[in-house]
Amino acid sequence: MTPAEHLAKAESIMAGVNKLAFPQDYLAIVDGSLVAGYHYGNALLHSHGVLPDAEHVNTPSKLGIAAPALPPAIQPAFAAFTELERLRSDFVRSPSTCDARLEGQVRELLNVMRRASAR
Amino acid sequence: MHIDEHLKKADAFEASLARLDPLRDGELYAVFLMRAGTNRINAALHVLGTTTDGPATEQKLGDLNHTYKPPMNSPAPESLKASFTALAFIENLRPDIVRGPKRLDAPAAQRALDAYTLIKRDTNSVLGRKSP
Repeated sequence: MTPAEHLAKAESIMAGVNKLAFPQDYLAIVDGSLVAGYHYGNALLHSHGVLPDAEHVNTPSKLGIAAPALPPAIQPAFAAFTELERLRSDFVRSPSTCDARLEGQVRELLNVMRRASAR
Repeated sequence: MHIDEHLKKADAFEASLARLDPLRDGELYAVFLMRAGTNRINAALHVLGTTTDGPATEQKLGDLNHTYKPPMNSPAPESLKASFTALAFIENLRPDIVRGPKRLDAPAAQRALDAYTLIKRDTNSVLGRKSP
C-alpha cells in the first residue's frame, strides 16, 4: 500500500474509533488505536524510505530496526507506536481496568503519529 | 488470564461492536470480533484444562493470542474444533481488510458474524453459560 492509501485507511479507522467512548469502550479504543497506528506507522516507513510500499510491519516490535537507526523525523512517531503496542499488551491482553489517564495518553500518542504522517 | 477476565473482555468488545457499522467500520469490526472470540475460546480452554489461566509452563500453554500463536502442541479439543475454524476465518480477514486496502463487504461481514455466533454458542456450551 502507498503512504496515501495507508493514511486514508488510518483516517477511516479513526472515524470508527471516534464512535467509541471512555471508559466503557477503553479496550476497543486501545486496540483500534493500534490498528490506526499500524497504518500511520507504515505510511511513515514508506514515505521515509525505510520500507518499500509492498512491505509492512505489523507492530514496532516486529520491525527489527532499533529506534535510533530510524530516520530522526519518524522517531517520535515510532516511540508513540511502540507505546500503543505496550498499551495493547497491558490493557487488552492482560487483566485491566480503565485508567483515568488512559484517554489523554491514547489521544496524544495518536496525535503524534498523525501529525508526523501528515508532514 | 482468569476465566472471568476473559469473559469480561469478550463482553466489552461485543458491546463496542454494537456501536460500529460493520461495513463502514469493517477493519475494527473484524478485529473486535476476533478479540471477543479469542477471549471466549481462551476461557473455554481454561475450563477444559487444555491451557492454564496462570503463567504458561513447559507442560501447559497459557493464553492464546491467535488460533496459531502460540502453537498448540495438541489438536484443539473436539468441543472447540469448529470454534477454532470459525476464529481462523475472522483472523484471515486481517491481511486484506484490516492491514490491506480492501473494504469489508456485506457477505464477508455476515460470515464473520456467523463465525462469532458459532464461537459464542460452542464456548457457552463449554462454559455452562446459556446461549442467547
